[in-house]
Parts: sequence; C-alpha cells; structure tokens
Amino acid sequence: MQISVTKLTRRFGQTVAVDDLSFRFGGGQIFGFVGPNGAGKTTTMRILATLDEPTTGDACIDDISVVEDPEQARRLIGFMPDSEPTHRDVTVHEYLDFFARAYGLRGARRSDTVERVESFTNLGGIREKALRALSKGMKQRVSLARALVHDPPLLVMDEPAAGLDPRARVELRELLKVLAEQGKAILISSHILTELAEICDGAVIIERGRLLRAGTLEQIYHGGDGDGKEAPRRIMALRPQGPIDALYRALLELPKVQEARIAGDYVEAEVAGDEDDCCDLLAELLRRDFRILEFKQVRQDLEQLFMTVTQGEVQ
Amino acid sequence: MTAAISRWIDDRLNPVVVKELRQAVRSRFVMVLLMVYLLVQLVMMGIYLLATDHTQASFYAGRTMFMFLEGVLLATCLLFVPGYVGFRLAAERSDINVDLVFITTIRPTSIIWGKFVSGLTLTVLLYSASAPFMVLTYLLRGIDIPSIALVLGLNLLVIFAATQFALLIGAMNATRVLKGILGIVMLGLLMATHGAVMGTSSGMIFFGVGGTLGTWDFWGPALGVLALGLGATGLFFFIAVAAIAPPSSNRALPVRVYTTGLWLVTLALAMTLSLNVTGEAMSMWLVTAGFVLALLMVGAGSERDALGIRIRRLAPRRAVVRLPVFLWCSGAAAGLLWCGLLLALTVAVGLLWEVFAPPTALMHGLDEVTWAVAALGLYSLAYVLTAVTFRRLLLPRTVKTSVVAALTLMLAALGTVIPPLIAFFFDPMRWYDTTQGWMLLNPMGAFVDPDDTAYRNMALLVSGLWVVAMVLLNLRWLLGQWWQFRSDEASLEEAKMEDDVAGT
Repeated sequence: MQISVTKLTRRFGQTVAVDDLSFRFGGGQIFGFVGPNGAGKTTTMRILATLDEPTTGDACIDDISVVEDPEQARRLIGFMPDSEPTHRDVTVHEYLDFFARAYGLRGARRSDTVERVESFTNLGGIREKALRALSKGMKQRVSLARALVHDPPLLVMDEPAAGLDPRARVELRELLKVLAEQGKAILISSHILTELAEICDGAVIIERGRLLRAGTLEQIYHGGDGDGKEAPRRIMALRPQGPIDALYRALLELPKVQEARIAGDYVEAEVAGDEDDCCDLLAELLRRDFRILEFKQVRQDLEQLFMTVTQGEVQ
Repeated sequence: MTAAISRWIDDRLNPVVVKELRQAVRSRFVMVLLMVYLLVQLVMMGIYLLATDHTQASFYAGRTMFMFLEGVLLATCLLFVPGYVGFRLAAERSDINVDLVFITTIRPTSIIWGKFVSGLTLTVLLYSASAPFMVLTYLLRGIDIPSIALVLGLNLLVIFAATQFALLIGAMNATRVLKGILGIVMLGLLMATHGAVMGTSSGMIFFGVGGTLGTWDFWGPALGVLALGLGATGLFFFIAVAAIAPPSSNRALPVRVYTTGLWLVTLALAMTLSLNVTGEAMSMWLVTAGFVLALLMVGAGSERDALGIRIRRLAPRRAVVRLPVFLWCSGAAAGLLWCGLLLALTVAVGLLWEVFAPPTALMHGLDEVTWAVAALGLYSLAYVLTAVTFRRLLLPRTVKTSVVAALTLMLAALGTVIPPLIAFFFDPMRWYDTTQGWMLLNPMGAFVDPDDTAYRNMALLVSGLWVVAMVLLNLRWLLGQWWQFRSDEASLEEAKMEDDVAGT
C-alpha cells in the first residue's frame, strides 16, 4: 500500500488553500500532518477522503485515484474528521450499524464487524447510549470506530486528539500503534507535536498550503529526501577550550558547514552531510589545532523543528 | 425460518431509510408535530360539529368537513415533509460538517431513494393520523368514496413531487444562502400549489367524480396529471442523484436516459389523448417538453468543460460511434447538444402532427405553439452560450462553470425585464406591444401572442442569429470538448496532466 499525493492544489477563488503539495507514505506507517492553523491540512485531508476535489493534481492509494475513481478509493479510506458525528438522535450501535450497512456489510458479517469495532474502541459499555449524550472523548471514539468499520487500509484523521483528556489521548495513541502494526497507513494531523513525535514514523510539514518538509522523522530532522537527491543535515554543538570566536570563524570557512551560531559556551554548526562528514569536520578542526572539549549532535524534536521551519503565517 | 426471513429483509433494507426513520421516531420535533396535528383536527372537528346548524348543513357536513381536513393534511404534508427531508439533506451536505455517508460506498441513488422513502413514510404517518377523522366525514354524508380516494391520491402525487423537489434543493452543491433563497422560492411555490390543489379537489368533491370514472373525461385529465406528477418526481430524483454523484463520474447519463424515456412516454400519452379526448393534449405536451428541455439546457451550461479520464475512457475508438456516445456523457457541450437535439425533435413532432394528424386531433394554433417552443429553445441556447462567453472570456478564474446556470437565469431575467422597463418610460401604454420589439430578449415572448406571426418570425430570426454568433464565439470551446472525448493513450495522458480538473 502506497499513498502518493502529487502536485495537489486547491483554490477557493483567489485563495490558494493547498499549493502544489506532494508527499507519499506507505502501509504500516503513521505520518503526522503538521502545520499552523489555516495551513491547508484539513483541505488536503478532505481531498484525500474524497469529500472535496483538487483544482489540480491528484492523490492515489496504490493506483486508485481519489479524483477519478472516488467510489473505489472510498473502500480504502477511513476518514475521521475534526467535527462530531451529525446523527444526534441515534445510539452508538445504530450509528455504527448504519455505516456498516452503508459499506455493504450484510448479515452476520455486519453484526460481527460492528461488535469487533465496538470492542476494539472500547465502546461496548455505551453502545445503547444516544450520540447526543456522549462526551467529546466518547464521540471521538465513535468517530474512530466508524472510520474502522469497513477495515480500510488507510486512515485519515483530522485532529483526533483535540479536546481529549490525557487518559483518552494515551488510549488513542495506543490504538493508533495497534492499527499501524496491523499494516494500516495513518495520516494524522495534530497540534500536539510532542505526542505526535512519539507515535509517528514520519511527518509532512506545510504552511500556507506549501510543503516545507516531508519524509520519515530521520529525514525531517537531518534533511535528505531518502533518494540521495538532497544532502542530509546535522546540527553539531562544539565546546572549545579557549576563545569561542576563533572556532566560530573557522567553522564558517569550512565547506560542509552551512550555518554556525554561538549558543553560550557552544558553537552550533549546521553540517551538510552524514556522520562521516561530521567526523571529518572534527578531524579538520583538530588538524587546525583547535582543542575541543565537547563535540555532540544536537537532537531536534518535532516541536523545535516545526518552530524553526514555519513562520506562523496564515492565508 | 421467520428469523431468517427477517434477517434477509433487514439486510435488504435501504440503510438510509433505516437511519432516517430511527432518527424520526426519536425526534421530538416529529412527535410534537404529530400531536399538534391530531389536536388541531380534533378541536376543529369538535367545534364544527358543535357550532354548525345541522338542519341546514346536514347534506354537506361530510364534504365541508372533508375539505377542511384535506386542507390541513395537505398543508401539513406540503410544509413538513419536504421541509424536513430537504432541510436534513441540506444540513448533511453542508460544507462545514458534511455527513460521512457521502463518502461510503453506498450509491447516490440509494441515498436519495432512502430519503424519499423516509419522507413518504412520514406522509403515510400523517395520512393515518388523519384517517379516523376522514372516515367520520364519510359517515356525515355529502361525499363519495371515489372522490375521497382520488383527492387523497392527487394530494399524495403533489407531496411526492414537492418532497423530491426539496431533496433536489438539499442535494445541490450550493451555498447555504442560495439554498435558503431556493427554499423561500419553494415555500411560495408550495403555497400556490396548495391553493391550486385545493381548488381542484373542491371541484372534484362538490361535483363528484364517481360518475365519470369509466370515461375519457376522467381518464384524460387524470392520466395527464399522473404523468406530470410522476414525471416531475422522477426528473427531480435523477437530478438530485446527479448532484451528489462524484463529479468525475458520468452523472449526466441517468438524467438524460430518464428524460428521453419520459419524452417518449409522454409523447405517446399526448398522442393518445389528442386522438381520444382533446387536441389540446399535444399542445400541452409541446409546451411542457419545451420548458423542461430549456431548463435542462440551462443546467447543461453548468456542466464540466474539461472531460476527466473516466469520461474519456467511455469514448469508442470509431469516430462514427463516438458522436452518439458523446451525447450521453457528462460535459457542457454534450449536454447542450443533447438538449438541442431533443428540442429540435420536439418541434419536429409538433410540425409533423400538424400535417399528419386527423383534424379531430388538432387544436387551433398548434403551429404557433410549436414555433413559440422553437423560439424558446433558441433563446435558451443563446442565453446559455452568452453566459458561457462571459465566464470564459471575462471571468475565467473567478467564476466556476457551475455558476453558468445561475448566470444564464440572471441574464434571461435582465433581458426579459429591462427592455420593457425602458419602453415603459418612453410610452407607458405600449410597453407590452410585441410590434415594438421590446420583448425580443424575452425567451417566452413568442408565447405572449402566438398568433402574431410577424413578431414570432422576428423572435426566431433574432434568437437564431444570436445562437449562430454565440456558437461561432464559442466554437473552439465546443469543439475542444469533442476533441477531448477520445480514449487513446494521448488523450488519457492529457487528462492526467489537465490543469483544471475541478473548477470545472
């Protein structure tokens, strides 16, 4: 299973909500979809879920286009929107039963599936409760159960953790891990980046509809596109014995160092290259008689990276 | 065994019907409405029976009471049922919180059918709440059973059409403001319909229809009304289905197949009625078919002008077969061509009927009506192509093709209203005079005085020249869609690379 988004653009009049967006990920992977408010995440997810059409571009699940063959694509997608279920007067069980019917499940298969999904999402105890009587967290669970009722290989989840209490968040995280282990591809948008980083294999960062970074977390943190077309980057922190300015100037002269800055007792250098290049850098500094007390890689987390690459601009 | 049968039936039930009815029986609104409805009937019937002077009204008590009950039933059904199902569908289609049933694998036909059946079930519920009171009216005398059955049947037919029309508005891919405006327009139409149906039913009740059941005097109008009601309901149904079908699918096909079938069936019916009852039947068919096709032509202008891969894949390799297939495929050019051809056939039928039908089956002025329909068709095409030109040449980026229909109606309204308004300032006494040419932009101008052949010929000439000019201006656009309709590799690749997929 391969999900590929290719040159996706969506305009609303003069506003470009999604601008030439391309990324891909596969089965068994959880991909975080990150961006400031109004970045185009929901629009992209709605297009993936066949709720909206792109102005240009396409998104495919394996070879099935969500634009040209939405009926086929719908069998493969489970969508969990950020809004709550609309059917307020029906019970949880009736709601899931309705969607199971809508996906063409019949007889014992339908009842088994609904019970399995209720059990998986821990809804068994409230199956006879009306949707309007449920808490936000429970409604989110119902929404997830509905997205799973036809056992789709791709799950698209728009802010599933919004409004959930800490326990519900932990439970959701565990459910997502299980689903990924089952081989499902999951695209999940969230503003809680620390949590996202814990469960995601990769991320797509967008702003003003444009792609800023996409790939596995390794690729995102260290750069590179995995195809060798773009060189990876690493941020190294060096603590010299002696004047820091000399080391700073020396680093800026080295060809592999793209950027350097002084941070307290350290000089942070952005090195274009892999671990070998970092070792070469250290060797070169030692050859130039710099005495280095500490040489370590600065690990970025998703939140830091997000703050670094986005400007917080909205459309 | 019973359980197995019950499961089998349960599996085959339309999921939307199941869901809608589950929601309806739990809805406080439905319950309150039903209670109020029963109470109103009970109170009014009580007041009537207690307050009426029975020595004078004893022979008419049943029919008077029935008319009252029918009025309340029809008003309740016309307001509540279409309003309820239409509003629910519109809410589910809302951009803000669209119902996820639209992205399941359930077919659009099943969704609209399910909504329609749930509306009918609510109608039956209201009918059954009215039934005991109506039985009482029969016991009060002054009304016969066939009249009761026929009046209730007529009401049901009107409720069918109104419910389906409300579903069509709810299904439309329009803003909430536009849907609201359409809802208000529909409310006005429903009030007018209520008045018209009550007028017809009072005639049926007071004169009684029992004695005419075996004659064409009854079956002629009855079949006409039945065809009109069911035909309209079916047309609204298929258009609503098309509105919720994926834009990339060939969603025009069911509408065109149905309309062609309806055109043939109603033509056969009109011929039969013209030969057996009155020549007016053919004239009425011509006008109705003309207006329906003109409206469909306006709608066709809003279809895509860039054909997607799915539509192109339908194109046969052989050019000879490609044109007939093209007519049944989604797309603005194909839609305009199909409507144009069917309108031309309608006019041809009218002219041929005039020549070949026996004199008893002819109505005076059929020829004039036929040419008025021809003018209506030409004006419609001219206005649609003018709207297309506006969109393409002046506002290609900001105005989507889906807006073309609204733009067409706006242009037609302006063309109809502005010139007579100007004329009114010049000469308040003669602004409506067809000889002055102030109505030459009015698509229905030729219907004002069909006997005025000079004006009619002028209208045909003006609309014909206008169409020619617009076709020439849009020739590249029209032919472009025809050239897109190929299933070879190059065309499919071109569709994949197509810059403007949706906006269209």
